Amino acid sequence: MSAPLRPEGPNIISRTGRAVYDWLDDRYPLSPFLDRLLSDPVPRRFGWLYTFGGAIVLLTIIQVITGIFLLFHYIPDWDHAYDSIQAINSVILFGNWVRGYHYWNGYMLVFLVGIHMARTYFSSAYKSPRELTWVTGVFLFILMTATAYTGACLRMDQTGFYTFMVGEHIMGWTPILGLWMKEIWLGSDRINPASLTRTFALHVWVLPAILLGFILIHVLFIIIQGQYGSWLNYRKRRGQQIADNLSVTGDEFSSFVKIQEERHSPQTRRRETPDETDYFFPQHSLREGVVTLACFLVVVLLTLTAFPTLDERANAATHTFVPLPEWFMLPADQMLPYLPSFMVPFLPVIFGVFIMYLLLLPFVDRHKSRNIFERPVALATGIIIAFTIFTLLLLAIYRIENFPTQ
Amino acid sequence: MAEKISRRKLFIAGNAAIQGTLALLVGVPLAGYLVGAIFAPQPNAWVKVGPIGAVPPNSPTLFPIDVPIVGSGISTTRPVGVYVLKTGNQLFTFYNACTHMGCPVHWQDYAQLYKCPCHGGVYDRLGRVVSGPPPYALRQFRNKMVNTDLYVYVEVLD
Repeated sequence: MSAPLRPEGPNIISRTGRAVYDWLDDRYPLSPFLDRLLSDPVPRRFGWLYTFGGAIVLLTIIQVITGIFLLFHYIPDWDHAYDSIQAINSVILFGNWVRGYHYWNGYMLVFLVGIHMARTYFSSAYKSPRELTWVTGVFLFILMTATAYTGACLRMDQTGFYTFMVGEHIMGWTPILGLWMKEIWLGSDRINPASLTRTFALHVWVLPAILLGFILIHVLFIIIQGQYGSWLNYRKRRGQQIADNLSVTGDEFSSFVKIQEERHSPQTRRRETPDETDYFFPQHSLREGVVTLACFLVVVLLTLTAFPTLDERANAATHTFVPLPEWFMLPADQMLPYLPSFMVPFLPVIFGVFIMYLLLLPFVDRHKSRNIFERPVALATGIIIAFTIFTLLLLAIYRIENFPTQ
Repeated sequence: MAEKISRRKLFIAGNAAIQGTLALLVGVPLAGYLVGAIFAPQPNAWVKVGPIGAVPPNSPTLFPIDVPIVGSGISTTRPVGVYVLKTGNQLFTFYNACTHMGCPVHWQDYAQLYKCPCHGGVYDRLGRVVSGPPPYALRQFRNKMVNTDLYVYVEVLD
């Protein structure tokens, strides 16, 4: 049975809760908003594939909270940052838990953003009318990566320091505006105490504030337009859909017709409805909850088994240290050895071209079909990009592992 | 005035003028606050490396130095490495940051090369690029001897 209808509002709450809800609803009409938010019909088939976005939202909230708590002990100062993290690791009660969560959950978020993007790409959910959802998603990808990256710069240990160093150099090599951008970021032409403060400001306020704003817009777009899912959710023809619904009882059928009319009215006619749907709450949100919990259990496990200890204190006077970039930067980092000296400024250009490709994708890909297997160009491009990223990642690991140290 | 401005248009213009004034009043100092730091000069200074009597000839040896640095008006230091090389009667002092991305180059005795651990930059003993992506040779500091102590003049840092 598709498009089941909710008998009446959110009646899952207690009588007192209901009274409070009614009191509020009387003054501030919540029902239209909550109905849209909670009772939104979402794809049922392959529903597990569409849970990563929800998991990212929930884990981002955890990330913000653990980040705020870290602020109570972290000191964003050139001379004290390293020691304060050392203290969080060893002296502060539960410090290792909070930092471990923040560290691994951040990586989990970057990982999930990658998975979420790949899923959206291969299910072609970016196509009209959801172009702007994809565009805000690309900005979220940049913001999430930038936030994770600036976080690594705050440790002031060797790895963090050289992550900082290579990052500001890449920015500095950007044609035309590079040096300006780098100097505004660092507050000078070289890494100095103000650079740490500025990167700290970016990491705890500027980037997360923009990120949360974009998440709000991104989620709002999805609520307004409804979840698309993928072409796998739209196999039945419309006649088949209506025939399915003829088997429901009279009352349900009349409300179904009403909903269908509403859906196909001029205001909402661009809203497709999947063959089989679930409510967002509690069916789909349960799936999202399961995925979120599973991801966070991995974070807990990593915190317990692979706690992020610090390297030695940042010190450029070394002839033995081999810098290790953040893992999500490795594919980009691996392009650097291949670019000869006169091509050095082109790395930021390659990033720019990749981001432009992502931003323009929904406007360039005008193929009518949403089935990725009917669109060889989109499929091939996706596979080539994924393959390139993985190959570069493996090559980078191989290169760093095999650097001949004395 | 030839054209008559409607009351509504005047109100809209008033709104725009007020919001614009506010944006300017706040925005200009903010932009200056952010950008101003890049015009504050970093100190150039003679930094003491120390006695180099023990440095073997023809073998670059790394010395740590603490370079004065200013950030947000506060003066402190930053640890930096200097490779000191004695060849014949010449003395070279190389900044140990790779000219590509600023990583710390490793002097490798068996290969007689500086190798960058980041992206495969390779320099010979005199800091010239042998292979890899570095765009130019290792930077050198000017140096001087005061009694038995070596000093380097630090102007540019990564």
